[in-house]
Amino acid sequence: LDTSKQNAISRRQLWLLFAVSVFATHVWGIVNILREYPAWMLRMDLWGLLGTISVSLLFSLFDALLPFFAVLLLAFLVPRRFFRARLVAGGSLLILTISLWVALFHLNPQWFNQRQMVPLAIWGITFPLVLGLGYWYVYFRDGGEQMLLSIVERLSTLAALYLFLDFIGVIIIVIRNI
Amino acid sequence: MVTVGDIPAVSRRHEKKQKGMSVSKISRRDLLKMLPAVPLMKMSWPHLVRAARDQAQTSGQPNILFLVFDTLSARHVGLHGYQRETTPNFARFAEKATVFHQHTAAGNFTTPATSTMLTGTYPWTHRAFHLHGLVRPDIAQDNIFSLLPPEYHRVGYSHNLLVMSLLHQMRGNLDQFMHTRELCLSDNQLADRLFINDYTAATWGEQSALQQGGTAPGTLFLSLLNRLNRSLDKRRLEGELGALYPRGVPNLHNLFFLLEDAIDWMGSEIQGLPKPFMGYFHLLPPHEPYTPHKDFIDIFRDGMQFEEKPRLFGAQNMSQQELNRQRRLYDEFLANTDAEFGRLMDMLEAQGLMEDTYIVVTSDHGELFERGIRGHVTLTLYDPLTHVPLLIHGPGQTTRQDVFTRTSGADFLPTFLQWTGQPVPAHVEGQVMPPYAEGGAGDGRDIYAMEAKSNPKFGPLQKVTVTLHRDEFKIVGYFGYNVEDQFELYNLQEDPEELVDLYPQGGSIARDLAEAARAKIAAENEKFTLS
Repeated sequence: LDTSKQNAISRRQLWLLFAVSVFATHVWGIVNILREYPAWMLRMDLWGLLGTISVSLLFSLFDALLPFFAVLLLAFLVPRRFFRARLVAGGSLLILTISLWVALFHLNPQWFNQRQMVPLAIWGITFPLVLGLGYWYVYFRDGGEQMLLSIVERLSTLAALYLFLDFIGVIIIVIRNI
Repeated sequence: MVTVGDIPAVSRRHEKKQKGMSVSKISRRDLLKMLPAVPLMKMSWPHLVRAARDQAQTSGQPNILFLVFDTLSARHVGLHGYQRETTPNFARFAEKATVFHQHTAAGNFTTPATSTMLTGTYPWTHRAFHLHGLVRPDIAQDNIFSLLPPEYHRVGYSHNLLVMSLLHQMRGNLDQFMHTRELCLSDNQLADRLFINDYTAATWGEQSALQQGGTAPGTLFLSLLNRLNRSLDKRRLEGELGALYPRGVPNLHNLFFLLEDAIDWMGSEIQGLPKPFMGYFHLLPPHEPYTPHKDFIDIFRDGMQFEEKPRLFGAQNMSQQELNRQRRLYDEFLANTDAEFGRLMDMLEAQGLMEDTYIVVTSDHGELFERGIRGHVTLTLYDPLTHVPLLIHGPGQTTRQDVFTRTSGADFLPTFLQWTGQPVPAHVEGQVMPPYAEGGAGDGRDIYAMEAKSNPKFGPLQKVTVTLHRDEFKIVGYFGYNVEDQFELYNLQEDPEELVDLYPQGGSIARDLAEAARAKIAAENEKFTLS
């Protein structure tokens, strides 16, 4: 195992990767909450509504842990020069692309349930193509990594806001469950 | 800690001697004198056992076993004239029970109808008329558990997660709260484990996050894992039980269960409950999906055709042929349910529980296979949806009694309170059922059912279906769905199949009942606004 300090993942890198995961899962989760909100409003009072939204946010927080840890695992498994050399850019690219493709899968359940092979095949084939293109852009194009990092920086601010909402949600859950 | 029961009898006798207390002593001569009495004791042994059990019931109060089979329409029960022999065990039970021929559920799905049974109030009062809806807290505190005398041991269980929401709400009034998972093969739910004090809100959050319902799941990755887990679970159970259940292991959404397990549990454990007890057991069959045991598959492949009915408000597009096929599947699952019910009754009878227990058997709502509609998720309230069976076996009852007076799901609470000598709270809208009421009650009153899934819980009723039963007539009012309110009127005595809508013909009955239904909604809305 390579344990040199140069190869250690910094706290800042960890935060940025986690922030990208939080961003992806929370944007999806909050859009879903907004879609469900009218139905919940029909049947709950405000306090119940806050409880339900808090539980939904908690699930989004746990959802964020999955891609985050998956990327960290990948960073340890793949040779350094392919991935860890540009961990934040490469990891963020992977998280965002997978999230987008999984979101497409969820939005079109009939592709899988009704075995619609054509859209399913397009969905499956385009994923490595888009990921490969992104990889090329980040790793081999001048300024590609910088551009992605600047986007990730901005996303991390939003992610901090989402985490704050999660924190409030946890407090609400604790109060409701005491 | 050692209790008196743990001290050997010899020690207790020695202790008494030391304290100078008299100790009864049976001599050999006394024992010989008692020998001739032995055959007499043997003869009266069952009576002695019963007497001992009665003694144990310090209050002399009867046990109450409240058994609810979900989605059981009276229109599919032989006792009420159904052509197929779906329920021979209900018929057998009826020979020692009171059969209510016109019992009406207060709603067309679990939450409103069950809330009415548990609180004695109609849905406009308890306000639980949405999926996983909860009863208004001030109404919820007076329920069939809390209002019984304190000596009662209260047990509540349900396969149905909508009922679990209600039981969670009333958990503080239960001595024995049983989780759904206790009598299930698999329940796949986190809310019941992690958020025990906030079950309903957490259930909504969990379902929204993990499950693909009308909208996409709210988590990207956890929902995939959940889907995989459920799929593996299903495959495992089908591997183990698929041969016994060719149409699938009984399930609803993520829940897998066997009715047999619940019946076995009840058959073996109920007799051991502290007495007097009040046991509420709400079991899912014959709720869809219709997945009977293999012994009941195709037992009704008789080619029976049911006539097509007028498609009026809320009609859907399912063909009559498909409706007939679905009806057959339902009937087969119902026959399976009935067989299990028969098995339970045999066990309870063998244990002598029928001697000191009220056994109440009913359903929360029915099921529809007509007018293009299959199931009970509908805006309509046709008779197969609200007419449910009700049979009550009283302690020691040996003959059948028939009651033709219309009764309501709201009547359970006051009836139970009557049995146990408790006062009925003023806000309760049900009445003591006719055979148990002093002077005979029930005739001549209006009885209602309601569907208002699209109406806000905390708002006046503006989008609502209401039925009003008065004498032999039933009016259905559809309020707020279209620009103008719509009505249907049926004479259930002359036209039990609801084939001829009398409302377009006009007349005083149509006018009066429409006005009464409108006035009832207005009155309830006024009360709601004032409160």
